[in-house]
Amino acid sequence: MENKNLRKKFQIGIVVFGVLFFMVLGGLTYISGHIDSMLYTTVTASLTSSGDLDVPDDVFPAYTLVPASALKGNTLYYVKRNSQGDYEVASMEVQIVKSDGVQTEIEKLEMNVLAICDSNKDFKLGETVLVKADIL
Amino acid sequence: MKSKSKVKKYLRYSLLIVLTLIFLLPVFFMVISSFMSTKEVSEMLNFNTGEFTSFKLIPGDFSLEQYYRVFFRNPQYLKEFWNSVLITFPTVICQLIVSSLAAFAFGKLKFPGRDKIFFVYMILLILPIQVTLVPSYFMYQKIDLLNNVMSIILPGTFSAFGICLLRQNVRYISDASIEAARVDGASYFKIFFRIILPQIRGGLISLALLTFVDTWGVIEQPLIYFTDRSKYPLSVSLSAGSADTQIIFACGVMFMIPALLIYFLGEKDLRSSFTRI
Repeated sequence: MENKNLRKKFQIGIVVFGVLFFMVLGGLTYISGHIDSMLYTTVTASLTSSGDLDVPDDVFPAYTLVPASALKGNTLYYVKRNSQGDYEVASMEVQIVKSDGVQTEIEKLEMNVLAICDSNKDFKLGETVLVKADIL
Repeated sequence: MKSKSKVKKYLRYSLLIVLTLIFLLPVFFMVISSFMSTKEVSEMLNFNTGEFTSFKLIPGDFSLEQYYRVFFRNPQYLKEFWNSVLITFPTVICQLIVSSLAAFAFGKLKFPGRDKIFFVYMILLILPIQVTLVPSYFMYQKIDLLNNVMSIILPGTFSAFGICLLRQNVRYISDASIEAARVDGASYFKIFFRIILPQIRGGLISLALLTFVDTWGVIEQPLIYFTDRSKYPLSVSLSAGSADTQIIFACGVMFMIPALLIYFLGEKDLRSSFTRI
């Protein structure tokens, strides 16, 4: 009799735990979609490309084009993935050649990077950020 | 003489304990490793070569980082968990309904070709799932069910195993009680709900449990029928190595909990049901 009661209590415990487990996971699924945007600075990033301002269809472009808004003086801020798979802010000094106000021509980079064009908050170097859109 | 039998008993128990530990080791390892930091997991496992660079059974520093990343930073794993739920629960419910009705028909009703049809069903039971994957793929393509959870739920619903298991349970019910109900004017549905279902409760719980475990761990069907990766259940990510290897243990623990809960709920009925087969 006592064993039966104990078993019933155990089963009720399992059901309660199961319901709570699914409810918590449901809540977390909802929250985790939004939590990143609450915790981190959101940046809009654009992939730099090889090209020349004067020769739009140049087959062998000599320069790299970056959005003008991605440069603060000679500093280009961009995002790169860290070992955890998150995006973090990095910067590099670049040689500006010319600009048309929308795009800036700089000395050719070794590889294209995701340049930060805009952000909803100020950010620091090395800070983990959320990339809202990769404008490719 | 007495001491000899005592030694035998100790030996038998020792062997059983060792075997149990061997079978429990992967689960124990997974749970323990889920409390390692992601850095520690990366140092321990090389998932490119599939080799251990070092093997640890105790975490160097206890960390909830994996759980933090699964629950707060990687919503795709939670979404995949819900994809598993979306596939598994309807399959279990539909299979219970269809199998219990079919088991009643095959076990108690008399109609022409009953045993021949059941024989065909038995053949389906012994066919490996891989044999029917490709023909099923073309069939689902024709009826536009690819990339749809119904392509997994439907075959599960009409599973031959469920019908065979419940038919054995139904056959234990005496014909006299059914005939008496018929004489009193009860319809077949009334007999099914009032006489059959209450008596095959154990079989139903066992079937629910086995179907749950089978569908919860489904891998081949989603890989073949789903081209949209966002519809994959968590079982695919965990087995195909597409999950983030650093948090794979925490994902595994999360994935294991519902199956364990279902087992604890129906373990007693599972044992009693199999004694009837």
